[in-house]
Amino acid sequence: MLTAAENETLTRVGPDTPMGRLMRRFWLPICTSAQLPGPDGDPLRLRLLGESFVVFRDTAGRVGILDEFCMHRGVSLVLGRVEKCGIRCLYHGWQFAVDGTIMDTPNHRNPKFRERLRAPAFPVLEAGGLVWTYLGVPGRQPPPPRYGFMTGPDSNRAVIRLNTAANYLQLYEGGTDSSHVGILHSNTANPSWMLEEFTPVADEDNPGALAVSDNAPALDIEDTAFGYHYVAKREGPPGPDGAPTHSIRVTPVLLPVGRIIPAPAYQFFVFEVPQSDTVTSTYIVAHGDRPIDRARILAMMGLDDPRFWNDRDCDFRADWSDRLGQDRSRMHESWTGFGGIEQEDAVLAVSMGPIVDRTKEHVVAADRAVLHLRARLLESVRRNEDGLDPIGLDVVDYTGVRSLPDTTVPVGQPWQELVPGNALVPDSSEPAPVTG
Amino acid sequence: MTEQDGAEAGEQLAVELAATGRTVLVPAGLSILEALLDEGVDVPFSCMEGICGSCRTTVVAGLPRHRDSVLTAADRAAGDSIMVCCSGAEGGRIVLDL
Repeated sequence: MLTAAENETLTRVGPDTPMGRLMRRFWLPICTSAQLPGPDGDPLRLRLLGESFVVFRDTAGRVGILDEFCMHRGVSLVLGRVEKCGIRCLYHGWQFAVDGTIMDTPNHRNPKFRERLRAPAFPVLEAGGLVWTYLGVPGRQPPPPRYGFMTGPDSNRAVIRLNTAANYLQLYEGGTDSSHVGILHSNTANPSWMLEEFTPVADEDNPGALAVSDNAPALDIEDTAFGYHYVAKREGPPGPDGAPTHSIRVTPVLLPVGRIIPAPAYQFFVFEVPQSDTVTSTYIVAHGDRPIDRARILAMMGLDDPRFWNDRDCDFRADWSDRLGQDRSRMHESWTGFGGIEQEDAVLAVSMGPIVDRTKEHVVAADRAVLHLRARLLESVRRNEDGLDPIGLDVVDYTGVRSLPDTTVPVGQPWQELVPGNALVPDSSEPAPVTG
Repeated sequence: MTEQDGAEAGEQLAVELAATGRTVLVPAGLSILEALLDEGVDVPFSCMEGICGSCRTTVVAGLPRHRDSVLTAADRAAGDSIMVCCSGAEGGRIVLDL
């Protein structure tokens, strides 16, 4: 459990909160590239860390991220005209470039005004199918992060965004909770659960497929420069010589919002990015060394059902008017009455309410990696509040960081040997470039 | 030379910043605000024409020569604040709470 104060510290992300200040030290995704398909298209109204933004792609294809409300007298620029390398407010025609340069003020002819002032604009990085920004102290942003999914052909990558009405930590904790995989996701992990027997699924694409039936994995946790990684060890089949084995699965947790979930053919990079205290944008980037079928990934996630999600607004829809969309008539063959791992994860996060009260919970040993997530986040907040760098800020190159899908090893084999890149990620001490 | 210049023709205006004791000279043709901005002094502002009140700054010493349309007669009589975007000072020197 947590104290009420610790829960507040971990879950509140506005500009004047400790976690809000920590998250503002990092580059964070604000939308997908696919949401801004072409020059001069419809601008997006987006929230990040409790603040509102207009995001648009200009005539030259550059992305701009500005305060949503016009600096003149506060009309939403989301209604504006995107044209001539800028966005123009409908009210008095003030036009702004992607970097906040004031291009035109038709009702104010003083050129000194346009030269001396600038609309609040934020740095933009477009990479890996995501648009990233930085909301912290201007000019103090760290170097842009490099992930494995930012390289290679686009066809080897599938990017999904879903917006869920729940605090980010509820979703993030689910991603560091190995013991729920074989239970909540029973239909994926063990489709013959209703016969009370275990049948592994040979699905190379699916991060929910478990190799063995042990639902009480032992956990080992090790801190790293990027946060920590942990291994879930389940009882494996006897080795060739009859020796005991473990089926192990390793998950790196990339503070403050990331993790990598393993599937045999792909790595699933997941970022739980707070739009506000009570709404989270989950970005899932599946990436491998071969072309990926995004429609199949969506089906596996349970996001092919338009009652729950669509690609247009990316909102995950679930409310209690119909029991969050649960179909109890299917529960003889569907463990949950829902379908697909992300649908199940998102529904459960919504079911907890906007911000779960962690003073009332009863955690057990299987939750150790969840407890460690909270401990590392609180440690990182303390560091940041004390004027030090938060955990992971110095890590620029994540390309060597790997998750490990279920792998059978002799009991006692050091699991770290199978993910050597995780320990080798250096703390980069190069100072952040000062720009703007 | 326009009406809005901080320094009158033939006179050099010196602005002293009370917090540091630093003095900023206002070149002819610029407002106090522009001179401060050019020297990296962060002053909030908007209209640059004495309309909006954004750049209202507390006067520590010196006599403002007001040209704005924000301050009331009572404000002017009190003499303790100035719109640095358009106003000047008597006697070539003013000390501001910056």
